[in-house]
Amino acid sequence: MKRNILYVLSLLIFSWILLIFFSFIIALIISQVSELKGILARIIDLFTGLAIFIVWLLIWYLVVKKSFYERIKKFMNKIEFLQIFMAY
Amino acid sequence: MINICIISVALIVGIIGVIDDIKDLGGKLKPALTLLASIPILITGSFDPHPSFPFIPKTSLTIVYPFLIPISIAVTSNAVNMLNVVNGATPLLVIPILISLTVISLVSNKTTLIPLLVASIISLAVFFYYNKYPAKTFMGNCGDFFVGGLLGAIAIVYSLEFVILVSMLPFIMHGFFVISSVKNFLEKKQIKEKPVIIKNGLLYPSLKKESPLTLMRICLAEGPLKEKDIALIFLILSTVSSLLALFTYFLTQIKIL
Repeated sequence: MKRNILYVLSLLIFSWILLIFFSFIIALIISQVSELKGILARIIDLFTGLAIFIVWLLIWYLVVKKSFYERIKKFMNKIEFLQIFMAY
Repeated sequence: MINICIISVALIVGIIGVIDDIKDLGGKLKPALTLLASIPILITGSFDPHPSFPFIPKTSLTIVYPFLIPISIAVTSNAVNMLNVVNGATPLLVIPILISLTVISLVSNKTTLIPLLVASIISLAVFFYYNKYPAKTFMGNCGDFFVGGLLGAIAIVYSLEFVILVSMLPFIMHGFFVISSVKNFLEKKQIKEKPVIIKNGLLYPSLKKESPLTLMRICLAEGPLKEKDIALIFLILSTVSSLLALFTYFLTQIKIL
């Protein structure tokens, strides 16, 4: 059971690191937009929304249509240190 | 007033859950209907379109934010519903999240949220007593939707979007795995191959390729377990994600730019 918990926990922490990393990049873009004022800021705000929507569609396409998970799994299997960690 | 708004959202989603319990709404109509639950928030304007992210405490999403509100309510309510796979799963997964939110409310002086959270924790803890393995009482879609809607509404009304997103990571992981393996929005009943097989009181992962990949199947990847053990793993997962959410909250308060 200890191995089962370690396996799922490592996935959870990996997901958290990914989430923090990507959200930081997105927030960095949005915060730069926030610095602007007037109509230009409104237009860029709208474009940011569209950009988020396009990124979401891209993720959806990769995950649902192209079996992105299978690719990640293959990639994860290649990482040696992770295999050692899983074996532990 | 804002707590009434949160409860209204949860009640609307709960009613959709009741309808689904009585008459099966299907995998596409159900998420679509939950989009409507955000109406109380949109009418009262109980949201701040300046969400905080780690290291960036304030961003501006004035145009896009109102469109994201219905999606977030639909996602949280359906995510909680999807992961109610073993006895006691929902209370064990949600109680740590609510406790971490209580700590955040105390730290950030959001005192109006505390009574709502404490009431939810106590009611879920009492419910868990009857819902633990072997369960005598079940939550149904109604209860799952209510709890999910409550979390989604708290995230928007109290500007805790990113924190609740992190605390709900086990739900998100499960949803991601299921949708990416099934490649569609399907009801549990519509999935032909079960992800887990029960033999002599133990749960085994299905070895069939057609079986969807679920969080429970991943939990069983290293060997068979009892249903009670799965519930314990869910509790550990939720506790860790809630601690990460607490840490993330402090990260959202730090400004580096």
